[in-house]
Amino acid sequence: MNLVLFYMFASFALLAGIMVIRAKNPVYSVLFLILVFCNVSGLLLLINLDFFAMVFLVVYVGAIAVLFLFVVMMLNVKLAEINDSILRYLPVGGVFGLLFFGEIFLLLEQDLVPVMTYETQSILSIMESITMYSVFGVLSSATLLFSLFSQPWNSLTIFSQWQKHFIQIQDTIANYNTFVQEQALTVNDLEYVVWPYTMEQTTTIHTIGHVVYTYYMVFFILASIILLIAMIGSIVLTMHKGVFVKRQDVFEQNTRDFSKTLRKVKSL
Amino acid sequence: MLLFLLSIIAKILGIVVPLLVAVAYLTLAERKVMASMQRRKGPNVVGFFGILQPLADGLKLLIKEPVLPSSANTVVFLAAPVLTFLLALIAWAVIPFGEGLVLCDLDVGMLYIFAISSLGVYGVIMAGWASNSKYAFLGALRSTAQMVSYEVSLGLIIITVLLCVGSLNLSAIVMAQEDVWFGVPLFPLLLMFFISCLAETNRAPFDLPEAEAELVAGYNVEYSSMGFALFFLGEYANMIMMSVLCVILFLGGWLPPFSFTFLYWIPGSMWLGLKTIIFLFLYIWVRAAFPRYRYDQLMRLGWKVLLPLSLAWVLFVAGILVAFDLLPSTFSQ
Amino acid sequence: MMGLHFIHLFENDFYALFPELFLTCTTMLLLMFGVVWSTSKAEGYPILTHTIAWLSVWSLVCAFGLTIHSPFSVMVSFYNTFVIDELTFLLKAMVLCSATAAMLMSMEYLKTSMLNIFEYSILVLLSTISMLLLISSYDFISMYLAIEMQSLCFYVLAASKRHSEFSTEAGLKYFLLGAFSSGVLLFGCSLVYGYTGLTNFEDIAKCLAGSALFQTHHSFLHLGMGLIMIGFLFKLTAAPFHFWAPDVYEGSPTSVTAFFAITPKIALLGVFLRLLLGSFYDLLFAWQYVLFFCSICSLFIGAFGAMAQKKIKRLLVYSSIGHVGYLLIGICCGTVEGLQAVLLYLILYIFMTVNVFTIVLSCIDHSKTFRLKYIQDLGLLGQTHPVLALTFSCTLFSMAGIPPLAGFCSKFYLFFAAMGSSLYGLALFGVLSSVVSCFYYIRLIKIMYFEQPSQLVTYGAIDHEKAILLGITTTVIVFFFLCPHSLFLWTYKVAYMFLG
Repeated sequence: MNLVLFYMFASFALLAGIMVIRAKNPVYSVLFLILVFCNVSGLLLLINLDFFAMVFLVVYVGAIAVLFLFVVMMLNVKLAEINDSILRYLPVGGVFGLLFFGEIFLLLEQDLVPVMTYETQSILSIMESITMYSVFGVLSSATLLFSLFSQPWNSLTIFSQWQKHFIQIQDTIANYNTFVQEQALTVNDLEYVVWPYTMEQTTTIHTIGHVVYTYYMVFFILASIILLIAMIGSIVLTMHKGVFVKRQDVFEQNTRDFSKTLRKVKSL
Repeated sequence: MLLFLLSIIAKILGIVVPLLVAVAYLTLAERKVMASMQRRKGPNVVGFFGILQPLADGLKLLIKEPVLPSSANTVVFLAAPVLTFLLALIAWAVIPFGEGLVLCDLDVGMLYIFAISSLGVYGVIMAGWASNSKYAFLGALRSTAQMVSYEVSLGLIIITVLLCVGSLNLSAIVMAQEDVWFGVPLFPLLLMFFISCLAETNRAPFDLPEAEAELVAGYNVEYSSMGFALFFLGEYANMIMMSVLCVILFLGGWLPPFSFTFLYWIPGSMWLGLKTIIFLFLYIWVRAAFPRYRYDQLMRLGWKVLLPLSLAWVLFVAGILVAFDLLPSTFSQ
Repeated sequence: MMGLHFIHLFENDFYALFPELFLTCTTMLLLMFGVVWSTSKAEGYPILTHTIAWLSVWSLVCAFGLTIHSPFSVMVSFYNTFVIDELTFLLKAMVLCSATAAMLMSMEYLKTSMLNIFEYSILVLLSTISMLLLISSYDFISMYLAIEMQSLCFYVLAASKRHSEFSTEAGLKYFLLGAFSSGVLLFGCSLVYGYTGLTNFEDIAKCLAGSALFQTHHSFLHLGMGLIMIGFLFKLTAAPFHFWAPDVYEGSPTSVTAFFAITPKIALLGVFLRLLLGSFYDLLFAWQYVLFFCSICSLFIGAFGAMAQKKIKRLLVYSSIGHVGYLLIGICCGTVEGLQAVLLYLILYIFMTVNVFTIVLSCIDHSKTFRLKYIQDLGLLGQTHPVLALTFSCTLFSMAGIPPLAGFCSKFYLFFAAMGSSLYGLALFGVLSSVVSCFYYIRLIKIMYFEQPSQLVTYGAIDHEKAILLGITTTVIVFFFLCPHSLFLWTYKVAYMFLG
């Protein structure tokens, strides 16, 4: 279930990410960007980082992307302007993409800390199982179709046979997985404490709060000062204090004394 | 597996269907209440006391022809009302109607609601942009700016309440009010929260986005039939949502007003409903009683009055809690 | 457990970062003072630029006092994220001095040609705080936060002359390229973290200790380190990554340019040194090539790029790119002598830059309308303002490395260190490029004494603050060779404490 959701979110995020840069209309780009954010927060949910997922939504989608969309809509960018050839940006973008790719695929194998073998092997087996499923799917669907057309009277048996094969494949993968996991656990003779089991369970927010407000308090304050600077900066650069602009002073209006402002010209 | 899915779907329907009925009758209630405030009778033709009026309205909208403006952006134009309606519905997933009566008892429930309500801007802004019409676009811009501004003070007020609870779980928020409803010690916050809710749902006196006099009808000018109906449903569902939120945060959710045993015989969801009705009535009352704000006044109220005030309340409440050692303990030991 | 008073947790740590803490509080106070007073109707909306500028100078001086009277000499504080030692002591003192100097020399500029924004001084103070924190940072996260804080101040400062299109352009360019370089830096940090699982500088050094033996396994670590270095070289305006600097430095208001040219290099170089000579010291032979290449590029571009320039600010930028090349030579050595040479060079470079920019800022005519912009405007300065011209000549000779001025000593020591770690090619190239750069420095002097300007201007008298700055810096530049031992010993002590 989680795996299905993971692939769903991840593939949607990737597709939307590609659409962000490929969409001709900048408004579409921003909308796809929002889709990317939503999918990524779904991914965060899958690894039980519920707080981060929600904050991601609130901050990125609820605040930043709205302003983004605002600006893009107001600017009214011409559609034809963004028709640059993809080849211009491919080298740089490709290099960075390859770097990320390399980071993910190679770093998992050559890790400095050898305790993590359990994690890496099961991921590899997931990759292998996907290839197995896909090979099986392609081949079996071909034979299935062929046999269905050639001997339609036997379709029920054919289906049941196909199902049996499918279950076989599933079992094989499951066995393989458990085998690999057992192997990984036994291969490592390193004695280490599985800290997650000895820890008390708390929610993400409590954990973050405990760390951020104690050990990493300085980072928290620094980040807030950065935000303050951003605020000062935007005020400095955009606020024009016109001397001749008339402003409404509500407080003054409300505190005006009726008897002082109104006077009779002539008493009747 | 299948049974599990079916049970979830049944639960969802159990929330959504009554919600839609409530929305339908909220419109009737609004018209009736406003009518009696203005010494009119209100709808009284269709059915007994006009009781079938909302159904007739709904049916009418349903069978009308959807008009697609020729220069509109079709996909976004169609997606916008769906999104609005969807977001208005999914926020209900974490609302507790009684002890344990909740679809998904999320630990970060409050944050979830906040995130969903911040997403609500997109339906409006997409509709305004895709309609390719001046009025719609202006209405959408106004509405977005308004919602984004008031979300800040809304968030700060929620933070103040959360300080007193020590959890973001909505059930926990309700249970923390067993001794005293937060509406009593934090009464000014309740007022501020309600004002922010009015602005957040684009209701009078902050219904600038659909100011008929200047903008025809705001972001949904170009919508007809089902598209319009979805916006309408979304808006009213959001109203109910915000009222329920007021109740959960400040008026003790499903808890009865006094802890007498016989009051507990009435099911909690009834109490929740009753309290929600108070706020819904307030919504309508405010609409009938107050004139519309000017746009700059609206912005000033949001940024210069509610934001500093709510910020001050965060500090004040936090200070009180720390000073008298009243902070809710988050750990059992 | 519940009643944990966490203030006691970091009780001593607060003393370690006391100057920063003091400066932060003062800045907040000044900000509130400015915001409240400048908008008060009863006071008639006073323009507080000058007041706040002087108050911030005073607070910088106080922070300097606090820095040199720090109760700890070596300490790692705040959960291993900040450090103070001899190096940070020296660099922090330098940063505070140079920020004070930059503030002092821009007093008159603020009065005459900036907009009336008191936030200028606030932003300078905030960026100084961030630089102090950057020097102290001992963790990738604290380093990145400090860098972001500093660059955010700089973007605003660069664009602070709102009605000037150049300034706005400079701000935007700085913002885009700064954000890009920060992204590269962060990517590098994430690669290093992904590979080692560490963010602390010391932990990384321990993790990599002795790893030069099995070099092939570290390809991604090298990549991460390379990206971090590229990020830093970007911000230091070293050569292949220098292209943003001339536009930004030229477009920004001159006082801001002075601040950019003088102060941030100290902080960035400080943390760069700590990273390369501390954390990644075991990968010395990997990063040496990168620095070797960058250093040669910077020297080349600094020497030849400056020749084509007509505007004084652009010329100074190219000259500073050249100086960064020299500094990189010193880091390249990876020895105590190299580090010492870098520190010595940095100190004297700051003196020279303060001097040059003070002169550039003081070249303003009597009616306060005409400012020095093109090189040709310096024409006949020797006749119209002989003392200023003499001072300028001294500094330029010193920058070119003519004995016995200060610049010669620092360069000499640098080449000596490079020879010591058998970087003969680099030393040779350094000498050659300093010969080439003599050309444009001496061209300036020629213009001052022998050429007619396109329009004859007589520059006005120099105000007190600048006169004091000029006096101090010129004295140091000219008479440094008489008693260089105190600075030599101090830098040697710092370098030895750091590497030895």
